[in-house]
Amino acid sequence: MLKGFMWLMIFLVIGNLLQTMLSLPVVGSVLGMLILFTVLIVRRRSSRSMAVAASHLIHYFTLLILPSAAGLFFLGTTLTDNWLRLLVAIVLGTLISSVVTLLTMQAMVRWQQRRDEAAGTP
Amino acid sequence: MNLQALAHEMMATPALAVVITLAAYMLALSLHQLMRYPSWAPPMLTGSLMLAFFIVVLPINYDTYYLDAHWLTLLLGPATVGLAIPLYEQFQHIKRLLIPVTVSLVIGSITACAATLSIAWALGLSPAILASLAPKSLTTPIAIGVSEGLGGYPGLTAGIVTVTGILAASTIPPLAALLRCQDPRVIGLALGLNGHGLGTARGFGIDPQTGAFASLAMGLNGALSAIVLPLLAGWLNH
Repeated sequence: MLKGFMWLMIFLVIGNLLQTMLSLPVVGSVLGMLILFTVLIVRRRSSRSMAVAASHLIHYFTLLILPSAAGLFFLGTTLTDNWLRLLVAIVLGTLISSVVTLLTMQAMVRWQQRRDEAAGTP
Repeated sequence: MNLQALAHEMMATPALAVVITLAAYMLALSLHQLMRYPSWAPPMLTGSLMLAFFIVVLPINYDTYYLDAHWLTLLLGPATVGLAIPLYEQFQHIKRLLIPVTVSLVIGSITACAATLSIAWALGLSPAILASLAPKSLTTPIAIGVSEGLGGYPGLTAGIVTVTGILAASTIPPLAALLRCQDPRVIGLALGLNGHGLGTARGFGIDPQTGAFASLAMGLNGALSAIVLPLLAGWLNH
């Protein structure tokens, strides 16, 4: 648990360093995640100690996000002046992208099936 | 000593901020269980409402509270880094469907962002609000990270992400039926890509394969958008 936690913190520090040094618009934690994902793909296996630490932390995501999430109710006029337009954009945008995703994946899965069948016949 | 002065004294240490956050979280979990896990009222929504209520009645200044809650939010860093682990483990299972997943992922995540942003832009919303909206389909920790990087409001993003997740989780299964998509891999990918963690939870409620594809789509969309969105924003600002 502690060993995995230390490694996650090391990747976080690397992410933070990269963000500061290259002044990237992505926060250090997301950079750290991308770097760790790349490292796992390169070495072709997961890490037991990091998996244990990560599953504990991920379990409490909602708790860790609550302080930021409560900020929604303290936005004042930013929210009261815009909520309807925001809601329209969210609802329409989500419906459009849901339909597009469903149709694309459906077409692609069928394409793959046809390709597999073609490859299977001599 | 009046209540306000007392609250002020209590805020001299982060203990009170941590206590009210934990209390709101645990109350939200109990409520969720009591209501038999409704997908339209996730603990994130009820918990943040309760937390806001505590902050208002105590009364504490939100900015002071947020600084003190750093004692907890600091752990969001290693937790976000840790998302790489389940993403890698899921990634092992889809090698056979690599092309369909990659193509759908790229088209889906571009649409999720572009459709919403163009509507919001046409409605005349400000750049900071557009920045808060851009990561709306991503899992909350990544979305907050991207929003902060783009100059959005993290609190607004958390709210937008929650609303998006509830919407996607409740509309995608009926939409799939309407469009005659029965393949669990198709429904799963759409749920995870558009509805992040809430969509993924809905997917696991349908069947394990739908859930597995949802959680993969959520992870890959988070990783992809975390790279693409800031680059795109930087390019648009030039």
